Amino acid sequence: MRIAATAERTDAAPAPARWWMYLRRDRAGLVGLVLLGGIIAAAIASPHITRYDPLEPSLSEAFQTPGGGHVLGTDQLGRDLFARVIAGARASLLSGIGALAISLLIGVPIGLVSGYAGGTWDDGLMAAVEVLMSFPGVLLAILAIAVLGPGQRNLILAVGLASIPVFARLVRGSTLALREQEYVTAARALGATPSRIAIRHVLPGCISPIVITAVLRIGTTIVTVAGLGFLGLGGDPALPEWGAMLSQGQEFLRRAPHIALVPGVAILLTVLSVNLFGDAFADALNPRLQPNRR
Amino acid sequence: MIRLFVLCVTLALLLALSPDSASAPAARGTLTWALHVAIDRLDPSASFALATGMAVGRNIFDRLVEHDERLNIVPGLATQWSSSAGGRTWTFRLRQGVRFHDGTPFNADAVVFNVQRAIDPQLRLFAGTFAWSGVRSARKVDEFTVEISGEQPLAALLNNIADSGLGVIMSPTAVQRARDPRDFVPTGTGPFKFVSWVPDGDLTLEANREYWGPPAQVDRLVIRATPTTSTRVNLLEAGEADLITQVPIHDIARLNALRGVEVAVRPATSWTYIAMNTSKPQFTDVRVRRALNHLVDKRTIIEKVLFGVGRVADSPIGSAYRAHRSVKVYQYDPGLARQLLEEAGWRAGPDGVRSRDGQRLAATLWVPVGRFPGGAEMAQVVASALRGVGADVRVQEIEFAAYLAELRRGPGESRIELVMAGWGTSDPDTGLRPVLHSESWPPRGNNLAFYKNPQIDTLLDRGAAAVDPSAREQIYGRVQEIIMDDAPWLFLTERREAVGWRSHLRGIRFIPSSAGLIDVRQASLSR
Repeated sequence: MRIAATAERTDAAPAPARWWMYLRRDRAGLVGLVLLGGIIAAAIASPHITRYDPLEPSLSEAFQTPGGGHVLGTDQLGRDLFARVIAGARASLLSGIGALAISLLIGVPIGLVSGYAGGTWDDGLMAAVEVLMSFPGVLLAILAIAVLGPGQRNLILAVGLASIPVFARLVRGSTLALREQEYVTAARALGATPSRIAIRHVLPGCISPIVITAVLRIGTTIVTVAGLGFLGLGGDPALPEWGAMLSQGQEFLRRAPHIALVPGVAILLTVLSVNLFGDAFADALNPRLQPNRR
Repeated sequence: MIRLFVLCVTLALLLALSPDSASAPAARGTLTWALHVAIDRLDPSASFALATGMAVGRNIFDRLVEHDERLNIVPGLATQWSSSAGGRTWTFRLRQGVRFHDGTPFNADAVVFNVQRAIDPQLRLFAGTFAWSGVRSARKVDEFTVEISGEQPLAALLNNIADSGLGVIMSPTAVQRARDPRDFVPTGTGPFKFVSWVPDGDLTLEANREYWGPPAQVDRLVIRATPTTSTRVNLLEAGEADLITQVPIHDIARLNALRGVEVAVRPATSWTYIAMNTSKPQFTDVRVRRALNHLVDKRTIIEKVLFGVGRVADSPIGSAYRAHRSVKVYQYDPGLARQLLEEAGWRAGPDGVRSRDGQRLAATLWVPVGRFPGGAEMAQVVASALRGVGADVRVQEIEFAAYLAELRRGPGESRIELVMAGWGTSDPDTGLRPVLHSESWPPRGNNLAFYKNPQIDTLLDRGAAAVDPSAREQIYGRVQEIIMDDAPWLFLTERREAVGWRSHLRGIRFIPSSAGLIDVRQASLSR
């Protein structure tokens, strides 16, 4: 399938147009895209949408129910939940994407070297990746935070490090198949250096599985970051991180359920929209499902 | 071995309950107590765990002296005591006719055995460092008289023995028989006898019918480790637990409104504060420390964050202490705080943060995750108030093990700037020395502010040697005044413990010492 994707690169229509053609017919994907767009817009514009400060407590306004002056109510310290949840959108999306970027930046080169160079490189790198994979991702992230110390930046780093194996193995697999292709052999015969072949001829062939996996992983990454925040590993409890907000709110579940409900729904909607969009996107990239072939 | 023991006591219990036996005392039913902390081991002399002191230490064992609800010293296994040689020697007259649960007679030999074991440096027992702190020898005078002495006056001895589970008197036979600590059967003289224990599960005890004092009013006492707050609350609501500790503060009002459930908020000797590291340039100036104290709106914090469960700190130690003196309260006054900071030369920069000689008034406030009820919320409110006058304070929640590790860093390498902490015992010496004496700087003690004041050191040393109650009161009163004035801490609140129980449970007592807290020895169930 991946090989096929490479072979289809000569198709007539430009890629984005083809993706859109497919995506347009996928209702769920569209819903996801619209939701995600809204969340991204809110995240970007968050400081300008509401006049309330998401950080500073105001005890006289604590535990207000949704409606009235505060659309989504206030939390246990009187902070506006709407202000906090949209400020959290920025934090959650950035940490999701940041963690993903880290795992891509480290995981892809590992997979490429391991798959293309083979031999001792392959054995050594894959042994290391295997060790990483033998731990559940969350556990690995907790371990990383124990070493690095708590805080948003370390949280992102920890989650990023924990999902390196996913990309390393994915890229290695693709590389193993691609390096036996005739065009690679041809490049080698023309005297191209191994690094040039790996980067210019093999890596482009891995792009589509990488992109599909990456988009589908954003949701997982956001949930992992929120999970670690829930466990209190995010450092500053004042930061409007959704997982931490959920964890603080669960204490008051009987008294003021909205405090936990608001960030909970935010996580749900974001992950749902990313996944709906990601599925549609993956289908759109998949040449076997091209609409014009049906 | 344990199984045989359990079999024996079960048989004994069956015999005791059979109609042929002599008319049974009023003891009836099983009292189930969901405790918020877990027992770590069965030997209270080797454990600092609250649960071990409270559940094992209080019910299976007795001490030479005990605390009552007002922290007065009352007779326990000793009926009379006196001190001589300026408090260096204490003589205890022992209760006669008492037997341990295994039949071993209680006498001077048993006491000497326990003290010598506790202070044996090779065994490294907490009992030696805390309950019998400073004790050098124990001597049998006659069958029922013991003399305990130290090189320095033992002014805090009685409080230290009574305070926690560490001062227990255990059956020498049972201790000697247990070659391996895992074989140890906790055998004391207390109102309840050991039946079984499942780690992180139930500790099951049964009434000791030969108890020398007022007998237990229930047949069985089951203490269940239940660290999850919602589980404890559900057990109480469902009637599966008769008693729970640490009711979540925001749930008190709701539970109190339920039929058949009662919640009480009782004083504890412990308190919560934020230590300012006085060795850091931000906090060397007393005016800064006072200014920050004026920014903490303790009344609103107690009302809104702690749901009324707490008391504004008016002294470094809690008001349950006999030695407590109500010194003063730093009133909430941001204007005065600004003025003090200006006087001290801290001027606001372009970003609003104050600085002096290139040093920014910035700090990280550490809070351990989940250790203090409302701790993270209190920290956020305090940090926000401090930011309001140009002190850039950020809260960082840290996991408890990491917190403990940070607190053990010595001077020079300590990264503490502001840290939330708690303390509390029942004697002013153990209440103040480990947190304020300059010899108690980490890693040796818990003087987290790295506070050093020669006057305080001298007073604390004198207090530890003063046996006369009025002299102690005077010395520790002075210490409290100086500390409030010198403000090495942000004074927050005195703790209160919220305890919930089913209405049919009667006769529980609250003793505000380290491990006393809840005394169920006389509790009864009316169905």
